[in-house]
Amino acid sequence: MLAADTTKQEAIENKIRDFLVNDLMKDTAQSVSLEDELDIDSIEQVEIRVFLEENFQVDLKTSQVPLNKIKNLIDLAIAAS
Amino acid sequence: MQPYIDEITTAGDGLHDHYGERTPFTMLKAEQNNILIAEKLSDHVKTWSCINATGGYGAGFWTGSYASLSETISQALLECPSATDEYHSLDRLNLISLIKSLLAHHTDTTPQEWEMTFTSTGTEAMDFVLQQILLEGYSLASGVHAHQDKDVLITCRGAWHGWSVASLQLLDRRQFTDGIPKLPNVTNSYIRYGDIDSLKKAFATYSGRIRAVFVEGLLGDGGVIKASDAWWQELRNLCTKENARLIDDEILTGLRTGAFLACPQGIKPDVITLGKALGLGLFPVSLVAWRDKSLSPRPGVGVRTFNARPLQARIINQALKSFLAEHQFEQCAAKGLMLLNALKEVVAKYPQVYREVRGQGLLLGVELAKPYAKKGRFIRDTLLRLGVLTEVESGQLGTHIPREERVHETLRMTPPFSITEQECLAIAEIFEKAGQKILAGENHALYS
Repeated sequence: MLAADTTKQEAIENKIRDFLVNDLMKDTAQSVSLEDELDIDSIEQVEIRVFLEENFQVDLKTSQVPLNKIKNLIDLAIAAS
Repeated sequence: MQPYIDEITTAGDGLHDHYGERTPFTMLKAEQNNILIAEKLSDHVKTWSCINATGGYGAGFWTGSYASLSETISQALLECPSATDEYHSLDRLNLISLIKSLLAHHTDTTPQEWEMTFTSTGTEAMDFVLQQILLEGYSLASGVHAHQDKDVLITCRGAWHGWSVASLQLLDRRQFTDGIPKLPNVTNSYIRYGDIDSLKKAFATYSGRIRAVFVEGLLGDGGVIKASDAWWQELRNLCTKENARLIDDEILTGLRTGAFLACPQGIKPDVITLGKALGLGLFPVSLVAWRDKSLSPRPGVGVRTFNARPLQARIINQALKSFLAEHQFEQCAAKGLMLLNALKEVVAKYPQVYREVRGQGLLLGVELAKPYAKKGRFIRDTLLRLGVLTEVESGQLGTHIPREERVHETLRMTPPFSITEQECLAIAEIFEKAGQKILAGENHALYS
């Protein structure tokens, strides 16, 4: 992976973690690994979807990727950008 | 009874889960303002008594006072005809006369100014109001809508106005609205409840296009927030200037805040809705009252199977008359103030758990501190295990709301008016005990 890609991925990850901690109030999201499953309820799923749409132009209409891991969110954001 | 308790506390009562997770608690029996609760533990079923500080979504305002109505109910069951809204009824006349006089007194209007109809649930009342608003100015004969340029409906962030397809359109929360068809030719705009600047900005942005503004007497689900008299006056003035209808949704707030309505005395809404407490916790009864004849629906719109049937009307009328004779508005205000002040002391002691207590009369909310901003269910369950039943309000937490304006989940209390001063103090003590336990790191296995 190029350095620029790494930087971009880190920026996306930071933005996602900030959203999870400060908007969804998921304190643990600060430190969980990319692969850890988050406890996401249906209301939070909507919030995550809106966040991905508005911040990364992610279109989830055809996606089957579960929105319960930070890695999945990063992958979706990178794929859309 | 024991085998049934084992079964129900294990498998539940069979009702569909609308929450994503229903509570583990079963309500076994009521006694005055207390409820006997059961919960299945690993090796036995535990039962204990809790103070009912909710009335069940605010509907059971008369819970604890039913004994005084038993004679009226028995007589009404024997005597009241099943008169639909196509026929007249003396019982209905008595109820409507009483409610119109209460509305007139609170709004500094006359009873004759008000038109009224009854619906069943609060949702149905708000759906009826939406029909009134959308149909005002529409000619069935020509198909022309005189108000078609007025396409904007304003509501408050965090507001709740019911579950129907139409009333859901008034909400700012996409978890409730996504996937549901939008009302055609309607633009929704959202203001911050109680914020004069937000109000003025919306009216400036949509000048000439605003058809109606929907507000609650106190913002309920958005965090139990009270607006100032100045905000209400500004809202009334702007609506008048804009020729927009002011809808005051008092379904949650009516009767319980120390007056008939929660909006300030003298404010004149165009439409008022009542529900919840109005039905005494016995019937789903709601009503819509309006002042302007142009809001009266055309024939055929608004017919209801249950439009204050005489049985309902007589019992509600008797309950309201007793309530007034006992000066219960004053008592609600006094007991609510006592509870508010007691809770303020608790909140000051445990700022790590509780952020603020707000409200008026017997409609109070304790907003949770940031670490518990979305842990309302956990705190509610903790409080219940310690002996007080509360309900979780959503607050205002969406990403569409600036972080500094967000309201955390809030524990709402809408106790029956029969709640005693001792019970109010006990509620505050239980909030204190919960604060202690939570800070001490004790969690779900909390029992008094």
